[in-house]
Amino acid sequence: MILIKSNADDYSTTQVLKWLVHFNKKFLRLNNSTLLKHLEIKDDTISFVYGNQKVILSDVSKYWYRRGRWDTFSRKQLRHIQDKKLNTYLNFFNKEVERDVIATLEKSLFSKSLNSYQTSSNINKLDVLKSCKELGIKTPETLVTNSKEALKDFVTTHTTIITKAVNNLDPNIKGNVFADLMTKKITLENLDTLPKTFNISLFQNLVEKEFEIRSFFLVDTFYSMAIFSQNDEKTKVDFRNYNMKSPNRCVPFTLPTSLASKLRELLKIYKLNSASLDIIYTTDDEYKFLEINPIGQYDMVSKPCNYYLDVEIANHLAS
Amino acid sequence: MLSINLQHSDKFIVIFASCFITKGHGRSLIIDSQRGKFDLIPNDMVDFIQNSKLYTIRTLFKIYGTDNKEIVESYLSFILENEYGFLANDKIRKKFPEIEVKWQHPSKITNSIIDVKVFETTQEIYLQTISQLDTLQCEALQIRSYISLSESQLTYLAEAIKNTCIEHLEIYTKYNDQLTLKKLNKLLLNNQKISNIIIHSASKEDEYEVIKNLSTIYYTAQTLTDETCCGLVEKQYFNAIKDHYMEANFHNSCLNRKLSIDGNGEIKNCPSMSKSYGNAKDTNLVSVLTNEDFTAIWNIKKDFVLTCQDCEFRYVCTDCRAYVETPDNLYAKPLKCGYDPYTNEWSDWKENPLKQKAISEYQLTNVKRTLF
Repeated sequence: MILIKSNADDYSTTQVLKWLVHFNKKFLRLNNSTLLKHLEIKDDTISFVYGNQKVILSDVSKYWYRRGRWDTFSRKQLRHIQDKKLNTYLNFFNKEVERDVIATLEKSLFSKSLNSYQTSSNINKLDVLKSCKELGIKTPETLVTNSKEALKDFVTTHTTIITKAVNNLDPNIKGNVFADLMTKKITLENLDTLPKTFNISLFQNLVEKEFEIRSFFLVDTFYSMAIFSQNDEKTKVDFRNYNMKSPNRCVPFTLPTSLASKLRELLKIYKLNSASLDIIYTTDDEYKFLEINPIGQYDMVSKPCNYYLDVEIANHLAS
Repeated sequence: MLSINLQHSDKFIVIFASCFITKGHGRSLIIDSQRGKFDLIPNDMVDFIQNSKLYTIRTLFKIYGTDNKEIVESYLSFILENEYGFLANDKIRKKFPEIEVKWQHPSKITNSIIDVKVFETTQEIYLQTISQLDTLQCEALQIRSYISLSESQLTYLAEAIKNTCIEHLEIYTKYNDQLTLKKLNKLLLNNQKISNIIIHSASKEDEYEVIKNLSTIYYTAQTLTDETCCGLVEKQYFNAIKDHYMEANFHNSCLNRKLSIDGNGEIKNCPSMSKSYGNAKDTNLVSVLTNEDFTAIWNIKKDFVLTCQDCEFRYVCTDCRAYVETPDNLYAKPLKCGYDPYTNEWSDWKENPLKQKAISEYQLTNVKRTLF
């Protein structure tokens, strides 16, 4: 049986499952907020009951962690505890236990896994940038600081810089309130509004792009796409730069083999066998790596390039 | 201005991989499969594009000579201005592979048509048909009613697809004044999978968007009396979107993975075709799919169809196998197509003297403009 962890509304999961139906394969899809009843971890045997189905992990042929949180315990069970402090403590305690249990559960599936909650949810961008340096993968100049003074020096050196989220948090703050985690441009003028010390933030020099590359890595293959993102006014008047003006033109792209092998090494360090990677091809003909997204929307690469990644994933799970 | 910049350029012009060229007998089509649009281009330009894969722009200007300088300029500006291509140096252009032309789908049936002539006849087979279409992972259903359906009948038809694989439902029904806009609106809000409702035989032409659903209610004065209304090949039905382009490269662009039930419950490739594979009352849809005759027609792609195989529109066009110029030839050109790829001219197919025999054979003499 193939075990899949996802969200109820994830389109890509549904598409892959249609292929598994097509291949006549048995699978179980676990969504968020679906609880594992009757969990048992005993010696080497791990099992749980989902719906009316008993799942013994040794029967699982492949495990795909697509997205979403693992819920093993019902938080509702704690609702009747009136004491606020005790309730908070137990919630916290449960979360810690849950994390260990899921780690054990996923560890037992590791050799059969396409990604895991463990590897996907704990990517430290700062570690990744350090690894890039060690592997010789070029990245934009980066500064992590909470000091206005340090930032000022950085802006002075690079003129135009950007800031982006230090880690890929769930942007959903509460209900329908979302945090804006988009990359933002920062100039010297912006600094005036800042206090001497602010929350720890990540800054990078703005890289002039010829086009962007979104690459989806699956097991051993990079499926890449060049995105000709819209350029600024000045290119409009110069036809030689016309190619960069084409908005949203998305076409297949082949990464240079040397870069691909370095990126493979990088993914190996973080134990990822599936991820989306963001890369920029600069106007100076350089590749600059931006970041890894273990839970990327691969469909945005698959569709325009006719890669049929749903089939590739389904084939991998069915093998 | 373009030429001044480009004439001495050592760059190459690269056609975006999502843009495909279909060469026709007299001219060609450049298809922007990402944006779903296309342009007619001369066949000479297709040769130019071939050459542009081998030579830099500077060399191209040299090869084509001063006499053809203006033509080269016009080709280049056409490609760049319409964003069919971009400029790249020799090193980077090799990193842009072509899009693999292939089409795959997990569903055994992707789309289905159910015709309604007498509601009770359809009702008798409806639920079991929907459940079988669900098993086949069918994604789109079109219900074409030649008669007026009441609010409760429409609700019955729409409710049945709620917990199935069918994601899109399109309904044609005949106008009646009981079926108010308010009732239709309610129907759409309660049934999010309905993408369109088309009210035919109405006294007005009108359309209303139900924004919450991204769906539309259309009113049209056109009438829909029976199956013979179908099969028209016209520019307005062309589809240049990638999925359609890819499918048309391998399969029949109308009938591939389609299963239809006509107004009498007969299972057919298309309701307009005469051959029945049994009545849905007592025939399992899955068993029909094992019949090779039923599925063989799926593979009659335009490259196999006479005349169409030389047409520049062949991969954006919808085919019709129900009405063809020579009714006993499975590979004949669609009857209701007025385009001649050898002269590149459109004319009224109904007036074509060569088509009169087939028109009378299909009893199409009264055919007017059609809805689909």
